[in-house]
Amino acid sequence: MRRGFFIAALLLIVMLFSQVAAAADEMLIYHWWTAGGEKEAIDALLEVYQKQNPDVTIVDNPVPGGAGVEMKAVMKSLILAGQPPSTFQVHAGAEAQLYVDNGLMDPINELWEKHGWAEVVPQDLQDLLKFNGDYYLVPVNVHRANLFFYNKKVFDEHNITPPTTIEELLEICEKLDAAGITPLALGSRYKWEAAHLFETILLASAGPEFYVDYFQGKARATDPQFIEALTVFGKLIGYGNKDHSAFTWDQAANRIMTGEAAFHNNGDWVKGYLTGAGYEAGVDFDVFVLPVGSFGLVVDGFGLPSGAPGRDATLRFLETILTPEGQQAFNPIKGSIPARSDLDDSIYDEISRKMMADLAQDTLVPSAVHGSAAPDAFMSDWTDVIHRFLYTGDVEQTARELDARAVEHGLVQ
Amino acid sequence: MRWVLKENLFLFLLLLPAMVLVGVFIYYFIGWTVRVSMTDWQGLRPSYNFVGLRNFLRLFSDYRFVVGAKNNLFVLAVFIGSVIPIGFILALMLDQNVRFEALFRSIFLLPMALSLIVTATAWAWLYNPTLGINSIFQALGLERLQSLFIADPNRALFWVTVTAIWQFSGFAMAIYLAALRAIPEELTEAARIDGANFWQILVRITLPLVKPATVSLIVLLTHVALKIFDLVWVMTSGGPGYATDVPALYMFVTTFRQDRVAYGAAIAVVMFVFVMVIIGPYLVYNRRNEVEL
Repeated sequence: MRRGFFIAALLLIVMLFSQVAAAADEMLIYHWWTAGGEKEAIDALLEVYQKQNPDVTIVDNPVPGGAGVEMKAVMKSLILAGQPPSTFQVHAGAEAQLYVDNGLMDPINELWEKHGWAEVVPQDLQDLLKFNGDYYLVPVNVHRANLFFYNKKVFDEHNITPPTTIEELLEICEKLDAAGITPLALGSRYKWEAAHLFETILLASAGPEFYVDYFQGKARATDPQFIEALTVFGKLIGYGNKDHSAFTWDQAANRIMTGEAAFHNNGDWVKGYLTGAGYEAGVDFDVFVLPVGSFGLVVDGFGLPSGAPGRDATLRFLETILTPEGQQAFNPIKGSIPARSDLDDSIYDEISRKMMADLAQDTLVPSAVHGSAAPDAFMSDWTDVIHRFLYTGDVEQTARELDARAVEHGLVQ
Repeated sequence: MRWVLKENLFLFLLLLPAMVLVGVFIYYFIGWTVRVSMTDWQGLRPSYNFVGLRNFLRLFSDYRFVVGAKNNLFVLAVFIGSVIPIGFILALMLDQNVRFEALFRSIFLLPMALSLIVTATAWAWLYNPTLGINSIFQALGLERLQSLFIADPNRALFWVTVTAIWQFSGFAMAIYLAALRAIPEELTEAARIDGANFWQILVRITLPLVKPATVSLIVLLTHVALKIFDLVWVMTSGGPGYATDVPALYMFVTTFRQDRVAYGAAIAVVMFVFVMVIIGPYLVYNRRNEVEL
C-alpha cells in the first residue's frame, strides 16, 4: 500500500517535470480563438501544419476572451517570468511592438526573403509586421473593423439606402427613430464594443489622416476635428438602446435580426456570427462601409519569442501560416480574408470578395481598439474613458481626459 | 529537559517547510509589493527607481480610485448588513426542528459551492434586460416590475451586491447553525421555566452566545467584500461607466492591461491597509479571548 503511494508520487513528479521540459519537436501555441467559427478555423490551420509536420506535437492553449483581452494578461506574465510559449497570437502593429521594443521577440527576415512574401502582402499591412526595418510577424488574416451590419428587411420597408457619409447615417437614424425603430444596436458589456464604434466614427468624421496622426500622438483629443467626432458619436449613442452595458457584441448583433434595432457596427466577424445563427448574407442582412474608401485593419499575427521552446517547429508553423494552403484553410472558416493578395477569391462569400477588392485599393488604416494603431496600455485607458462618455455625454471633459491620458502614457510629448 | 528540547527541534523541523513557503510567498511578496509601489515601474521591464509616495498621492486624487473606494464601501455595508441577518434568520428557522432540515440546509448552502465565476455568468443572464428575469415579468404581464438591472448606472452596484448576498447567505447560515447547536439546551430550558418568552431568550441568551460567530463572520465577509473582483469582472467589467468599479478591479486593469505596475502595486498596498484595519482588531480580540479562557 505504502509502496503504491510512493510510486504514484514519483510518477506525478516525473509528469510534472516532463511538462516543464518540452521536447524539441513540441510546439506550444497560445491564441484566443475559442468561439464558434474561430475554433474551427484555427483547427483547420493546425491540421494543415500537422499534415506537413507529422512528427511535431502541437500543444494547443486557447485562452477564452474576445479580442484577446484575457490572454494579453496571461502572455505578459508568462513572458516576464521567462516562460514564453513557442508562439502566440498577437495583434499586428502597436500591440506586437510592445514585445519587440522590450527585446522579447526575434526577427524572422530570412523567412520573409525565402518566400518573397514582400511581393504578395500589401505594403501598408507589412508596416504593421515590421519594426525598425525587421520583420517580426507573420499575418494569419485580415479583418475589417469599419463595417455596419443592417437588417435588410427593415431598411427596405422604410425605403432606406445604405449611407455613404456620417450626415446620411444621422439622417437615417432620425427617420428610423421617427418610425419607432431603435436605429443602433449597441453592446458595451466589455467596454471595447463602444470604443470600436467611436473609432469608426472618428475615422469617418475626422478622416484617415487625422485618425492616424491622432493615434501616433501627432494630433490631439482637444483638436476641433476630434471634438466634432465626439459630438457626432454622442448624437449616435442617443439613437442606440439604453441597456447596452448588459449586452456583448454578439447579443447586440442579434438585436438587428430580431428587429429590435436596425443596424450594428462591428468588425466582419459579425458576419460569421450571423450566418452561424442561420441568417443569410444579402437576404436577411447586409453591410455598409463607413467611411467609404478606408479599410480599418484588424490583423492577427504570430511571431517568434526569444528563447522559446520548439524553435524549429515554430519556424515551420510560421511558414505554414502564410502559405496559400494555410491562408485558404483558415480564412474562409474564420470569415476573414487572406493577408496576401494573390489568392483565389472564388472560395469566399460575396461580402469577403468585396472586402478583398477593397483591400487592394482602399486607404489602409490600423484599428486602434484592436491593438494595431496605438499602445495597448493607452488603449485600455482610452476605452474606459469612452465607455464612461456613454453615460456622461460630456464632450469637453471627455476630450480633456483623453488628452491627459495620452500625455500620461507618453503618446504625446 | 533534553527530551523537551529534542521534541521542540523536531516540531520546528516539521514546521520549517511551511514557514519558509509562507515567509517567501506571503510576507516577502507583501514587502516586495510595497517596494514596487514606491518605484516608477511602468511597462513590461522592471524598473526600481525610487519615487517615494508619489503613486499614493496621485491615487487619492484619481477619480476612478475614489469612486471605486466609495463603491467598495457601499458593497461592504449592504453585503454585511444583509448576509448576517439573512444567515441568522435562516439558521434560527432551521433550528426549530423543521422537517427535511437536511434538505433545506443543503439548498441554502448550495450557492456557496459554486465558483464565483459561474454565479456571475448565470446572474448576468438573469439580469439581462431582455432575456432574463424581465422576460418572466413580461410573460406574467408585470411589465411595471421590469428593470435595467446591471445596465442601470444608478443601481448596477446594488444588483451586483444582491448576487454576492445570494452566494454568501447560506455560508452565514451554516456558521450560525453550528453556533446555535452549541448553545446548551439547559440554558434556554431554564429561561423558559423562569417565564422568558421567545424574544427575551433570543436577545438575552441566543444573541450573546453566538457573538463569537458574528464577529468571525463580520471579519470573513469584510475581507470577501473588500476583495470583490470575480463577480464585478464577469458581470459588468466595472461598468456602466465606473458604476461598479472597485479598487481590486482597478488594480488588475492598471497592472495587467495598462502596464502601470508601480501604480497597481500602490492600489494593492492601500487595499492591504484597509483589510488590516479590519482584521487587526479581530486578531487582538481573539488573543484576548484566548487569555481569558
